[in-house]
Amino acid sequence: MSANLQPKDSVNPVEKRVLLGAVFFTGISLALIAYAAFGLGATVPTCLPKGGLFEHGSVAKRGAKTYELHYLAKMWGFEPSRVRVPVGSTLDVYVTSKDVTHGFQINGTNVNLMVLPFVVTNASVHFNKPGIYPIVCHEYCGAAHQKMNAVIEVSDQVDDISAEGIASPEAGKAMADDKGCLACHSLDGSAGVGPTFKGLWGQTVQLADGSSRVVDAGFVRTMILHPAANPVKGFDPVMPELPMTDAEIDQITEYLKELK
Amino acid sequence: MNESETHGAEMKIELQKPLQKIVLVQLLVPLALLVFGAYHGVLQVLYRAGIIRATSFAGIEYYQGLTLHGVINAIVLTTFFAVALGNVLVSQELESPLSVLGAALSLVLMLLGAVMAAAMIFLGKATVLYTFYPPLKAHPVFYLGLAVFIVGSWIAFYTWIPVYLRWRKRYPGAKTPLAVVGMFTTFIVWQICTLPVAFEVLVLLFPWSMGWTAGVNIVLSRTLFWFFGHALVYFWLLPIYVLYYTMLPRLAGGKLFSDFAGRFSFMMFIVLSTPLGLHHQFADPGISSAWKGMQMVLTLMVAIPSMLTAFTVAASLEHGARERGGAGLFGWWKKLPYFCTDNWMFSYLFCGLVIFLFGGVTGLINASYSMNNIIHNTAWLPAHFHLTVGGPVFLGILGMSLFLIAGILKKPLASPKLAVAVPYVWMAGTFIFSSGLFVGGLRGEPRRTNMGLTYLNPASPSYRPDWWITTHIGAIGGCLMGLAILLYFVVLIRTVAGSRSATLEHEPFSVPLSEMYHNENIPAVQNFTPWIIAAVLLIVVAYFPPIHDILNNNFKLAPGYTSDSPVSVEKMP
Repeated sequence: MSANLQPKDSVNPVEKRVLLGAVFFTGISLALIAYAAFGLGATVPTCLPKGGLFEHGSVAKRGAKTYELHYLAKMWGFEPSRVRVPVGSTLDVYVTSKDVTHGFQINGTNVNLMVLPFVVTNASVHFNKPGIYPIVCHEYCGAAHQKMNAVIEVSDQVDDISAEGIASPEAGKAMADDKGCLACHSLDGSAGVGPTFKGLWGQTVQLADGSSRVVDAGFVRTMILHPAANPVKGFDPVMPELPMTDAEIDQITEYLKELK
Repeated sequence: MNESETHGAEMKIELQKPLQKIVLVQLLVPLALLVFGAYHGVLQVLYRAGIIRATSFAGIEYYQGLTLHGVINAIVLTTFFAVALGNVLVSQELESPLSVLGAALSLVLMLLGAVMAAAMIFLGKATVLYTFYPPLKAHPVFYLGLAVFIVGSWIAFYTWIPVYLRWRKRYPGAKTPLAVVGMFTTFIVWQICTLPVAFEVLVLLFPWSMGWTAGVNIVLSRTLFWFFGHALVYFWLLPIYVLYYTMLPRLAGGKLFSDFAGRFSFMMFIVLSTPLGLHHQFADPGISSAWKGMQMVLTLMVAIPSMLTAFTVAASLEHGARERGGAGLFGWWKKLPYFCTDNWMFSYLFCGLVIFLFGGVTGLINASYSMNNIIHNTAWLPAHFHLTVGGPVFLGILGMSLFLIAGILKKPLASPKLAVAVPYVWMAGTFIFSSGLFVGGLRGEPRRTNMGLTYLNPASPSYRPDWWITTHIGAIGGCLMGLAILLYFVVLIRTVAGSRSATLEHEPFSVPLSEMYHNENIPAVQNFTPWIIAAVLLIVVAYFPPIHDILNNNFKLAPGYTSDSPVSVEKMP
């Protein structure tokens, strides 16, 4: 090859027109997006000021048909799991995660959020039509990601908000009763077939294999799902395996914390 | 225009023998791994539609298979191909042998890294998808493997740089061959964008995975990943742009419409490929919408070189068709070699282009700020990128790998009719697959979800009958795509197993590249340096504010989790 540098020349006029056309088209697109954002208020989540972290789901009334919802995302469900609101409600939704990254899309609306641990995100949504609006976790969050969802029911039969599936000590007590836990675990410190629940949370217990463990959320979960594998020392391995859901385990955990 | 001398491929010397062997390994190993990558692609559409209703099938769990599909197809196959193509084109166009030692070291590191990462995925120790997504935690060997793999790809690039500098000295003032400009653009983008992800992997994730640190800043690690993650998309596309600009016009029977368009597009990609990753984080908390808006503007500007490329490639095809006797305003379309078995490579690049039209337009939708709220993380996204990385990129890789393997082995292509059928079957498959997923996405179907267990299971309380039809359309398309790959492997295996051709034996092998129809001389697009400086400046402007905010927000560090338990591994006994 030789140094066959030609004199400087200009861009082919057709190519130049295409380039200008591409710039023009991109400009139009940007203008429309800016109009959507500033003119129509269609925007994306932003960084909320520090603080405002929460550890439980909750619902609260803020005005006539205006509600503030706090959703806690966790492997693998939302707290609350089901919310019923009257038609015409406006919901101010706050979401955070207590473990890994999750997604939060309310089907049939423009609410579509990433949910990160220890960061709060927010969106508002107005419901004009009655119906069932599923909330789907759309970010991979582990083995049971596909079962992580919740429901907002917009109804013309109710006048106020109601919610299910919020882990609370009260709900946990009912659950413990319902599942028969209290038949073997006392609430007053007296010995039973199993260790008493009173003051159990946070204690260090000796296990049958000689190791010791602090009673925390992980321990409670292991004991409910695989009780006989390594029971607490001094107790017979008679506790049945309870096929409880993660939400149910969370309820029991909240109850045990309260009995500290 | 005496470029015929410089671009007539017949004049070129042949790639030296040891490099030929290295290139063959770089092409054949990822194609062998593609067996798993493609198999898990087909399985996913079956899981999603509820045709397979299980957590795992044949020993591999759904999300494990999904991780394999992503890592093998999107990282291993694409990177090996870019390195192999670069080795061939840089050596051929700069008329120089390459460093065998450097190429071999690059190969060994890439193989080692790929094996480390793949082994951890197969063992179920890295079911974190190819996006890593902490606080899901993988085995340290997985992160280390990916780092070693990327370093291996850097070394290949480093062996080309002295060759290029020597060439510049030998031909002062000459225009760098366009194919070399394209391959260097690919690896300049790769060099820039792999730095933040290397930081994420080596400084944030690896020590955390070893248990040396207690937690990870999730907003920071996501931002570093997407700092890399969208430039990665251009790293996939750019080698295919090289084929579109330098090979396709010749296959069509004509010349490249404009040399300037190619050079200008490549320089624009150097500048714009990286400072726009936040458009993957429009839905994220923890980042100001102002910075998201700024990077959205930069994202849309990529449409400019893309539209320029679309026009220039179409104009080159028209030139080729007219050279073949095509006439009329639209009549020339009939003259292109769509089904020509002697020119089978044309069909791979052409089908990729057609698919890419739809991939490009849907990409603009995704990038359009609040419009992303409608489709973010839904099935719409995999529909979109199976029309980009799964369209032009994948077909370019399949076609060009076959072209290079047959060429280097001096073997005639076996079953040329089947070879021509592959891209058309694939195109039909991707269109059906994507139709299902686009509509499903608009109806709220999540991506990356084993839907057969719940949403597509009539016995589940989460059952969604409104997703039945779209997931089944997706499954039909996915199976057709699987069939195309099966046909491809028949051609590939028969070609490799066939005997050498006596006529090819004495012809040196080279890649046929185009001459220029308009060979402009615009100095501004003939020098990398100013464009690289502009890229670095723009990256600082685009990424300094959000990263500064993230570091000042003191987000609480997140402890790690494995995919199978909602209790943190940090709390396990």
